[in-house]
Amino acid sequence: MNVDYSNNAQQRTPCVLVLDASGSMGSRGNNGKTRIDLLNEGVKQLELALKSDEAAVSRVQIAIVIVGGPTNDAELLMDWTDANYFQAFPLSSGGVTPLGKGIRLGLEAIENGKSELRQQGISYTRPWLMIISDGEPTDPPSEWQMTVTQARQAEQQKKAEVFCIGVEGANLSRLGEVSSKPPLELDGLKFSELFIWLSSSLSAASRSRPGDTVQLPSTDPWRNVGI
Amino acid sequence: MLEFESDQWLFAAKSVCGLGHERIGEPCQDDARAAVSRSGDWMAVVVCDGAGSAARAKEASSLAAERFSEALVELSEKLETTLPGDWVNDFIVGKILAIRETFRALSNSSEIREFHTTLVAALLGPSGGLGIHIGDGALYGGKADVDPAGADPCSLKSEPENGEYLNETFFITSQDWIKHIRVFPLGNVDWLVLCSDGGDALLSDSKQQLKPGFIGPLLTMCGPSASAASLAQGIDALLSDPNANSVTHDDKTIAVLVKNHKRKETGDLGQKWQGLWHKKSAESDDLAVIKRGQRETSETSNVTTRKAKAGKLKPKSKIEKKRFSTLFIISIVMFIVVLGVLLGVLFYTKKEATNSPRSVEQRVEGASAGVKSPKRSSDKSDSTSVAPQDAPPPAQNSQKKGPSEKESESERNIPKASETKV
Repeated sequence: MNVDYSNNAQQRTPCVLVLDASGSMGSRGNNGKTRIDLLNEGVKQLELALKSDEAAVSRVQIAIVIVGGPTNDAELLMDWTDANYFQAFPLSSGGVTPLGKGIRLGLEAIENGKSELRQQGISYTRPWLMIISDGEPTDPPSEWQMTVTQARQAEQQKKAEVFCIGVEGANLSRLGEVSSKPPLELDGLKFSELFIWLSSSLSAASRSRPGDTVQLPSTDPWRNVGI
Repeated sequence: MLEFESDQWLFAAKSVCGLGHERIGEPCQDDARAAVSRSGDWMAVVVCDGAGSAARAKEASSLAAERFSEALVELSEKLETTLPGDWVNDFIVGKILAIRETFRALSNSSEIREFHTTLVAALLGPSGGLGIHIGDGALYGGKADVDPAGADPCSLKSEPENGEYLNETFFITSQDWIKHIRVFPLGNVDWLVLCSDGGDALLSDSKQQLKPGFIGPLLTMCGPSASAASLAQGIDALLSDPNANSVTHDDKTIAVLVKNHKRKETGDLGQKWQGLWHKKSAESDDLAVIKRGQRETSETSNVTTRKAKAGKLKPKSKIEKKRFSTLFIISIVMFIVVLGVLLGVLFYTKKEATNSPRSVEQRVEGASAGVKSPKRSSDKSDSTSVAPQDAPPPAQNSQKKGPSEKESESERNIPKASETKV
């Protein structure tokens, strides 16, 4: 019998990356590579891992906010892009760390992305805001405070899941202010491991069904648990 | 009871484990039950979907489906002697409270979260009945004898209720379940289809409309020669088809209840749907546009987000294609005009050259200058006609470095490719 099995269940799992590309990311590690090089390799890993995942490739959406970098400002460098069209591009480091502005841009992108998906009648899972930094915010204190309030609110109102990852040297307590979840510290410079974890976590989130709690993979491969 | 046949009814339900659960060795957490009143005039059908995150989801959906189908039969017996009224709602709420109490007793704590399950239920009698729905899954119903050219053969629909996010829904075990319970009259329908969200992914499209190409074959299985066993087998085949796994990895349940005499009078219940489907396929031009539109929706929705800033959100419609072709014709006309002017200029300079003793170089220079400027203008008209919207706003891209250039390049390529395909 001829049966219509067309699939109309379109859905997305959005994730915005707020990446610190400030001057300190240019410092070299033991292997001679700079942090920004390793971050770039990590983002490339993310691209490849997402594309090789059958669920993630059509469901995960990525946006990238850069903090610092050549323009010494925070800007939305890549607006929402589906995983199968996502192409990692190298960031270069420089400048200070207007992290507060970057996070606010990320939250803004999330709201814009959601309303766009709603307009198109595409359902979605809760968006992720992933902050990766090796320093501390250089925003004026009042602006940072505003960011903290906004991010906490977004989390409470279930507008977004906020994750903070600190790279060696990061001010974890400042970073942790923006989320109710404790910030995680990257072990050494395991950016690749971090981004592979991110890909499988997003894939798990994109496959979740009503009532599911998303089981995220273990963070052990990249997380510095401290001894 | 998952199969039932009598003078009044034909019923079958089937749950098939989704790939998601199969892969990790977990059982199907959907369940369906039916019960029939002693008089045989009423039938209760219940479909429950246990939440993936709930530890005892399987137990919960089975228990809820069984208890609630029994409760509905009890209700039908009351309805045979008492006029319906407020008490019906109270009765239903009371029965769900009793199920919640049972979960609480089974649980070691006062938390019944581990028993999270949705509920889609129907009680159908000789001249109507009622539906009860909490959470996702869906219920559809209709008459057997709808005018083929007339209205939607599906006259009754209870849609899934999700939270803002796709992976959020409501359960009979939720704290605020009472806010999400829907009780509604069924009307005098001849067939009912109840499904879990996995089943609904197969039955309906993104606009929550039944797909003729799926409901048609399903209802055709209820033909005059069908038995409950053959219907159950048919549903099983539909749900177990490998194609179904490409649509959803979730557990899939579909329950079908049909009034027997209607089925025998009408013959093929699915014919109208099949007819709708074939009619649509036959209307080649218009449907081709719709189909393409749909395919493009999924294609463009992949790229739309990147184009959001360029102000291009909607999938290409027929109108846009028309506009494209008019622009194309205009640019051809302009090209011809420009060519004419060019030839004129050439002719003029040649004539002048024969008249006045100018050097060869000067003549060539004049000609090439003549060629250059109109060509530039025709270039311009070309680019505005081909990709007026695809070109991203220059202000945004000029600021971005390497990658964004690459992006804008592919941005321009993708829509073009789909345009030329058309």
